[in-house]
Amino acid sequence: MQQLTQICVLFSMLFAGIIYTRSYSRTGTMPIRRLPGLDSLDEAIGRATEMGRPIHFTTGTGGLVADTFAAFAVLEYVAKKTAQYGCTLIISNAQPLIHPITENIVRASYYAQGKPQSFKPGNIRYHSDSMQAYVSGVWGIMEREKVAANIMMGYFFAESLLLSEGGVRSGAFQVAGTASTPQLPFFVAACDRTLIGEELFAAGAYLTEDPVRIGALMAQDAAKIAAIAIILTGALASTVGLTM
Amino acid sequence: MAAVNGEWGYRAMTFRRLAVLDSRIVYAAVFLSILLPLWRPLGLSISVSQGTFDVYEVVDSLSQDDTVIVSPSFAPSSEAEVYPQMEAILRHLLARKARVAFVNLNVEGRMYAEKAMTTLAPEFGYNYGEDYVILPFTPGLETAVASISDDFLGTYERDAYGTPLTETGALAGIRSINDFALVVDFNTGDTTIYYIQHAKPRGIPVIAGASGVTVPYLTPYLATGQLSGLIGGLRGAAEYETAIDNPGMALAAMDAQSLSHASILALIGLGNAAYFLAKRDDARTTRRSRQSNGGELK
Amino acid sequence: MSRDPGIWTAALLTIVVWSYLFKQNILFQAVEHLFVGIAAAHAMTVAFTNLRDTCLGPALMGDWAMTVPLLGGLLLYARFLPKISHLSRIPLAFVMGTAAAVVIRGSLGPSFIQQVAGTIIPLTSPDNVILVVGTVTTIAYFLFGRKSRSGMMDHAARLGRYIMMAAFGAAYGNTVMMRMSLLIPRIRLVFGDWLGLLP
Repeated sequence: MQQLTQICVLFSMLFAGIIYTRSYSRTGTMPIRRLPGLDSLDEAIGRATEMGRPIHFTTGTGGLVADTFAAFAVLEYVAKKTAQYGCTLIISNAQPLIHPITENIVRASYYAQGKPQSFKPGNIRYHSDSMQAYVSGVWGIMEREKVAANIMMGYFFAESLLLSEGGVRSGAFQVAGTASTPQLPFFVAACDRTLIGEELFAAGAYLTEDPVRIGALMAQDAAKIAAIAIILTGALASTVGLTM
Repeated sequence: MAAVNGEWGYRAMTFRRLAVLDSRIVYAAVFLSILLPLWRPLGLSISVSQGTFDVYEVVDSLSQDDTVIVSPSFAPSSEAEVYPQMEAILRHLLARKARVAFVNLNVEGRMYAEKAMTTLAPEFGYNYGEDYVILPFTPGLETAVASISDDFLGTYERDAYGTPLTETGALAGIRSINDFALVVDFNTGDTTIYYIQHAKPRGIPVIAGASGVTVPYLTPYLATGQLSGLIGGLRGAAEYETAIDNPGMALAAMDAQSLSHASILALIGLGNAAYFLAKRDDARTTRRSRQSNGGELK
Repeated sequence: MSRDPGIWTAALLTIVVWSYLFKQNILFQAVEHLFVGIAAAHAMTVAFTNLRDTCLGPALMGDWAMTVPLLGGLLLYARFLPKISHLSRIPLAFVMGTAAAVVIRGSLGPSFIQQVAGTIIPLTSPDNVILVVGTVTTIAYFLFGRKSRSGMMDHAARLGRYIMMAAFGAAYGNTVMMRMSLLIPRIRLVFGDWLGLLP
C-alpha cells in the first residue's frame, strides 16, 4: 500500500510537471513570482562595480546535487552581469567535479556577452575538498583581494558559518542560498540576504527560464497545495474524532 | 543644553560602546568561562532527558543473539561532540553482549571504530571477528546505504582487513540487512536520513547520536517514529553516561559547557540591552535637541 | 608539562590558530598554508586508496566487472582532449541519473508522504496546534507560483516566515552548543595535556 502511494504521488507529480512545462512552452508567460532575493544579486554586482573590487562566488563543499545545479543558474546570471559591467568575478571550488563546470559556465557567459578577453581562468580556483582547508583558502581571498560582495549558493555543510563569518570580517555584502536546512540559520544570521531552501531552485528556474525547471517547480507547488489540504483536512477530521 | 548634549550623549555613547563591544573581550569571557570550571570543577548535576532515555531503552532491549550496525559517520571536526556519544552507547551495547558490525561511510569511520574498540574490547572480553567486525570504507554515502540495504553481502565480501566475511563469526547468521536488530548512526550530516530512507523501510529500527547542529534537522523523523531515538551534542553524551552510570569525558565537560552557555546568554542580554538603550537615548537626545532649538534639528 | 612531541605540536598549532582571534598574523598564515597542504595530501592518499581498494585491486585480481567503472572514471578526463571531450558526459550522466533515482526512491516515502501523514494529528493541545500551523504556513511560504501564492496563502506565508525564523534561532542555539563542545577539548589539550595545569 505504501509503495503504491509512493508510485501514485511520483507519477502525479511527473504528470503535473509535464503539463506545466508544456503550458509554459506554449504561452511563454512566466508563472513564477520574482523573488526579492534576486534583486540583492543585482545590488551586490552594482556595489562591487562601483567600488572597483571583485565579487566572490562559491557553491560550498556539496557535490553535484540539486542545490548545486540551481547555483549554476545563478552563477551564469552573475557571470553575464560581471562580464557586462567589467567587474572581476572570483570563484572558489571545493569539489573537483564542480571546478570544470563552473569554469565552462563563466567562459560561456563571457563569450555570450562578447567579452572573451575579460575571461581569466585563474579567477576560477580550486582549493581542496577538505572543508577547513577550503575555508582557509576562501578567507585568504576575502582578506587579500578585498572582495566587495560574497555570493554563496549551493549545498553547504559546516563551512556555511565559517565562510559568512569571513565575509562579515572583510566587510563584504553577502548573499546566500541553500536548501541545506541545518545551515540556513547561519546564513540568515550572517548574510545580508538569504534565499531560503527552495527559493534557490525557484531562482534557478526564474533566471534560466528553462521550461523543464519551471514545470518542475510548478508541479511542486501543486504537491505542496495538496499536502496543505491533506494536513488541514486530516487534522480537523482527527480533532472531531474521525479516523480512517 | 549642556545636560542635553553632555549627560544623555555620554550615556548613549556608553551604551553604543557596549553594543559594539570588541570581539576580543567576548572571546576572552567565553574562554575563561570554559577554563575556570575545567580548573576547579563545580560538580553541577544533570538530569537524563526523555529522548536519551528512549535511546537507552532501545539498546537495553537487545539480547546476546542480536547483531547491530554501528556507523561512525563523523569527521574529526565534530569528534569532540560525537565520539563521547559513540563510546557511551558502545559501552552499553557491549554490556548487552550484542555483536557489532561497524559500517564506515566516512574515511575516518574505521579509525574511530578501531580507537573505541582498542579500549572497550579488552574491558568487555570482545574478540575481533567473533564478536565484532570492522567493515571497509564504502564511498557513495546515500548510494552506499541503499546498496547495503539492498544487498549486504554483495556490498561487503571482506572486512576492512581483507578477511572474507564468511570466516568471521560475528556475521555468521547475516544474509541481508533484515538480520540486523538495530542501526546506530553517529552523524554530523545526512547519513541518519539515508538509513531512515533505505534501512528503516525494511523494518530495522534506527537510532542516532548527532552533533548539536543536526538535531533540529532529525527531530521531524523522531516525531513520526521513523527514528527510534536521538541523542544530541555533548549534553546527550553526558546524559547517556549518567544513564549507564559510567561518568566519562562528556560528563566531565558539562560544567564548562554550562558556564560557557551562561556567559554567552549574559553577553547576548548585555548586547541587546545596550543596543536598545543606546537607540532610546539617541531618540531622547534628538527630541531634546529639537525642543531646545525651537523645533528645528541642528 | 608534557614531553610528548605530538602534544607539543598540537598545542602550539592550536595557539597559533587562536592568535587569529586577536589579529591576522604571519604565523597564522603559515599554519593556514600548512593545513591546506596536508589536506591536499590527505585527499590524494584517500583517493588513491579508494581507487586501489574498490576498483583497481579487484580488477587486477580478475574481477573484470570492475573495469567498467574504471573506464567510466577515465572517460571523465576526456574533457581535457577537445576532440573527444563529449565522451566525459557519459559517466557524468550515469552518476547523475543513478544519484537522482536513489534520492527519489529514498526521500519520497520517509521525507514527504510519512511526514505529511505524521502531521495529521488532533488539534487538542497547544503543541499539536503549533506543529500543524507551523507546518502548513511554512509550506505556504515555499509556494512560488504567482497564482498559488495569493490571498490567504500570502498571509499564511508571512506567518510561516516568522515560524521559520524562530526555528532558525533554536537551531542556532544548538550550534553555539556544538562550538563550545569543540572548544572544551582544545582548552583541555593546551592547559591540561600540554601545560599540566588542569586536574
